[in-house]
Amino acid sequence: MTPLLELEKVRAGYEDSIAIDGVSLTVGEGEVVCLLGANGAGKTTTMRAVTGLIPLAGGKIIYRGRDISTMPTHLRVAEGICLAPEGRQIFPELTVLENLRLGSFCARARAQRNDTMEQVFSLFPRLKERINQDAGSMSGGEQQMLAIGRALMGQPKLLALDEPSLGLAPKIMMTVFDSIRAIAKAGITILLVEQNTRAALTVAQRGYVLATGRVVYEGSAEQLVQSEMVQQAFVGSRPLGPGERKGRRQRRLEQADEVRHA
Amino acid sequence: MSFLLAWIAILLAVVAAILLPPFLPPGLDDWCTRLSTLVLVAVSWNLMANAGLISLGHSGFWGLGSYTAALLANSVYMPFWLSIVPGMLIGAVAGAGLAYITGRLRGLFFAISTLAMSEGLRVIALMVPKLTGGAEGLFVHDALRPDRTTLTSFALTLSIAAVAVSYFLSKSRYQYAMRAMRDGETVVQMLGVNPLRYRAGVTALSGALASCAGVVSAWYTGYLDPNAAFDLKITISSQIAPLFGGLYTVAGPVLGSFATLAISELTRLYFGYSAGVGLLAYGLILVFGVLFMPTGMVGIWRSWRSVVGRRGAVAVNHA
Repeated sequence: MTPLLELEKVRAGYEDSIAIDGVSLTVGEGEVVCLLGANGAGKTTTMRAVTGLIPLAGGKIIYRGRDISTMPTHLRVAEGICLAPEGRQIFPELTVLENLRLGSFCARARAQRNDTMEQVFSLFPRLKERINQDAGSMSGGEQQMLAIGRALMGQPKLLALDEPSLGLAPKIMMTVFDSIRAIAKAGITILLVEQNTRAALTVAQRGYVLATGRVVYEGSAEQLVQSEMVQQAFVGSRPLGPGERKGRRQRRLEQADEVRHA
Repeated sequence: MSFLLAWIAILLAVVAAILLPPFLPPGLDDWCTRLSTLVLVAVSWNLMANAGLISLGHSGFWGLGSYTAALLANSVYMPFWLSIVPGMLIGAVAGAGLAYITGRLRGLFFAISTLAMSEGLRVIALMVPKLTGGAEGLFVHDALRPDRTTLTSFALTLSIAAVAVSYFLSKSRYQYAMRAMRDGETVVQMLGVNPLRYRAGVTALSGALASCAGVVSAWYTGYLDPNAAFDLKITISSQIAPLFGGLYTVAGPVLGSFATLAISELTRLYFGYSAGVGLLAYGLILVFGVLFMPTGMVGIWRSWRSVVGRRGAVAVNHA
């Protein structure tokens, strides 16, 4: 598998505080890779470094064999790195159509705008129904679909999704993740940042766990699900081994967890 | 189709602007010229505001245009119509320069730096009396000054052109890029828009239009001094007109220019008996206008039309 994106010991942050320090990771062509971690672990900062929204304090970012560490964001978009940002950031006063058209602003994407839009609509039929509606008047889930759709309009080779589950009802979240799976199936490489580890691991093939700005664990989705550390930190309970029985406290915790995730 | 209609409307307006001024009574052609320059700066200011750039320095562009025209007329005897080109060019360069110099400054910080630019230019104009005549001012070469009707025709045509430019811009994809920039440049960047390029583009265009108004005004008054050419009042009226008419819209600055000029004339006529009362009334009307019509005249028109539209729909349902 050829790597599409490589981060080599990337350091980045804001003002004087370094949010990520020496993050190295690889995203292969056609892969879905997720970044996991608690709040403040550096997931979003990593994403911003990949998309060029913050300058690097050290390290290198290599995309399709080229060093893009100092390339400005809009040129990275032209090269096919498109982001659906945290908190969606769609334009509420513009219509769905206008939002999508804005996604294909760069010349490469504009040339095939109509075809791409058809693909986006087949992925998110809901958006087609609401094509002339103000984006701000849609539900959170629809807005998230629009944010992803807008990123797709840029014809990404690498689709960066930052917290697509943020603020969504569990049922809607599942629909969004189904769409992400469909996008991955279409052959688009995805870098996914997610706090909802369970959902992320149903889509991703591999993942990295970040904590306080460093990669503390990496592995395949199965390994991550099994891993003791990830279990305790993010997923919840460890799957039971043969002959084990859950304690009362554990059952209670799980019930609470199920309510939260139902 | 709608573009065809727009072109026809523009053409008709230009024809009217060229043919009508000779038949206007003297008071009215003065009014037309003032209206035109106000429309130019209002459209110009609105363009920048539309991209999220609040300017407090439009008198700077105006003054640059004025001085360019006056100095070129006095040194190389450049005629009025030709001086529009270097005047607008200087404004465009100043605008683009402003965008590059202010870099990542936004909001309040950007506004203050535009104010500083305008004031700085005024002080510079005061400090180089050999070139600008300093505080004494300078007269534009009189033999070159066109007669009033020609100037009025030119002024009206230029303001129509400015409105046309802002109209076509509002229909283009650039409008969305500008609109998006207003929400924040991070998001625009993520869509593949080079924010610096668009920012420089919009400030250049805005600067050129405001300078154009300055050129017209210099030829119209025939006299310039730094305090008049870089007068803060110009900046203020360039903001009030779009605010009053409807911010971020094409028609807003035009309607607002009409309205503010009309209000200022009326208050001057009716309260003219004691100095200051007219200005006070004018100020109050504007304050209340901005307070109670946050969407401006365009907004009121739109909501009125949607109410009427809904009533119409109800009537149809009943029938």
